[in-house]
Amino acid sequence: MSEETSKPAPFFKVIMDDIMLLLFLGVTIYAIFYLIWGVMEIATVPNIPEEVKQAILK
Amino acid sequence: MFRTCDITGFKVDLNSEKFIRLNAVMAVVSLLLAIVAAILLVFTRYQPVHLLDAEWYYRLTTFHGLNALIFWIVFFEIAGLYFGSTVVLNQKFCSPLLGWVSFVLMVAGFLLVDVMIMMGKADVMMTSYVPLKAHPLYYLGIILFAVGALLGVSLFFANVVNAKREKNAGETLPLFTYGLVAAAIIAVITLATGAIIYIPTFLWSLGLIEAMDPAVYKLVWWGLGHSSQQINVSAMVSIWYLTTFLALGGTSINERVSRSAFVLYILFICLASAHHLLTDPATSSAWKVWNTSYAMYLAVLASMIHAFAVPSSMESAQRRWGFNKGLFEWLAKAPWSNPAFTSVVLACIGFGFIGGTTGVIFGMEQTNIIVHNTLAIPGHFKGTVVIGTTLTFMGITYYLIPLIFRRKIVAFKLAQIQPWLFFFGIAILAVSMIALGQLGVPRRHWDSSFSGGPFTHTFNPSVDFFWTLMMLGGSLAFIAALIWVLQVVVSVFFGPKITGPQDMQLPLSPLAPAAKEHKGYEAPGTLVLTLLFLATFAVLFFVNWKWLAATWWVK
Repeated sequence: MSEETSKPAPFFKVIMDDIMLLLFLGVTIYAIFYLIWGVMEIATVPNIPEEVKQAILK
Repeated sequence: MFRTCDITGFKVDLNSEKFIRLNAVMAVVSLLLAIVAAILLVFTRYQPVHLLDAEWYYRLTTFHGLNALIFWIVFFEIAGLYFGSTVVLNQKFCSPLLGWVSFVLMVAGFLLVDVMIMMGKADVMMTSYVPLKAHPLYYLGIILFAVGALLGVSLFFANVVNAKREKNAGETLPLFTYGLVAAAIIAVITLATGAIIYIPTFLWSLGLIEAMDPAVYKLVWWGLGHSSQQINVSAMVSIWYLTTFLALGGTSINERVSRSAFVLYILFICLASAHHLLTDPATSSAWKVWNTSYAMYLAVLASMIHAFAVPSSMESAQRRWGFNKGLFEWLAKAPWSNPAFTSVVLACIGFGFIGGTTGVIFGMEQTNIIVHNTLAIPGHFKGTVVIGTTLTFMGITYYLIPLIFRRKIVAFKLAQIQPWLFFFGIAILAVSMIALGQLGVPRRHWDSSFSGGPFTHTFNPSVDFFWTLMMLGGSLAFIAALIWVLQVVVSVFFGPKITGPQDMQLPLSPLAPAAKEHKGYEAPGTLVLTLLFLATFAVLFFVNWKWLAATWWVK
């Protein structure tokens, strides 16, 4: 085997050619920054005060 | 079982060819339904005609949205994924049985959704925001379609993995297939999000879940709704590279950079879904600004890279073929008689100048407020999905007809005109809609004159001009799309059979020769075009900030 072919592939090339790793990274970044963060913010919105709710529903 | 293509030399798996054909046919059927609904909607919103009543307007808006943005696009993409993972890689289709399961599920979903909408059981618009409730079979239809598509995407991955294992893919995947990998990963994100939101909504429609949270629904739904259009972007750009290769023998002048841009899509483009919640009070500015600005700009950077890489690969190839005079001989002597090439160039222009510029401007929290929920938003995505994706898909079909369906293109002269008609029709339509939106005209509104309503509003008189322009652009685009559909159907079912390379109407270029010498920029013409684009963007950007500043008087 020549010296050239035994050289390890560059780090970024390894990442870019690893489909499963890219899938994992794509799903994870989206899930954390868009879905989980967003749902957490909505879930922590305080409930509407009862008197305001009644006033609206009147 | 394989056949060897006598035009390209590729080994074509006959199972794969069958599934490409079936999905492509369903795509064309979906597009036909979408454009018929579209022209009726255009003449309803055009107030002097005001064709449909309110009920049918909202019904057909739902119908148009699903058929244009989901069925047409996803069926075509599945065909493209099969093509990119088998034909291009000389690879066998991994599981014909699962190919059938995927196709049958998608067709069943398509039929259920369309029938439910037309029966008036799902007048909920494409977004189906809760608490609007459709018939359970509507939601089931979408779930079946999504599961079928997800299976198709899985088959794509399996084909690629097999090709790599069997050493059919080379050391690195071809750029076209690599772009499709990006599209497929985005599709997984999109379809999984679809399952997260549509399964509970289906159970809610059956009465098994008491209530759905509208804010959470909207957030998760847009993870499906917007990201599904990012599958298109990735697939479309892949086709741009493929067409440059087929028509000119051109390759990206820096393939590693082009691949990096696809990686940026995978990592960041789906975060842009947050655009749709920019006026919602439940999420913080930090969440909005991170997702729609900082992170999304990395995806915009990717689009800018492709916007330079694709024309520069064309220019570089043309210059190596000898078209070297001045800045633009390469463009003047480009193969404009090739409708696939023309479609891609026009798609690139429309996507950048109309869809791209407005996408960034409308995607910012500040300037978004001027146009949120106005007609400018569908105007923007007419620039991305219709001029960009649809015109690109139309263009590559001119190659698929002879190479996959093995038929000559009937009335080829018409095919050479069709991309221009479609481009100008949609460009006029999109720009008119953006102008109308900037003037405050709402989207998804049956009667923007508000006649008989408790509130009224007098628009700037110039809206009448833009309504007329929109109607004319829409009509022209409808005629062009109809020409394409008829041409495809007649060619595929009745066109003369291809007997050899001599029947190929679209030339297939050999690889462009290596450059004899390198002096200065490899693609100076593209650099000038890119600077022109950036100048246009800067003007539009500051005009929108100026409009924003004029909206309220700040002391």
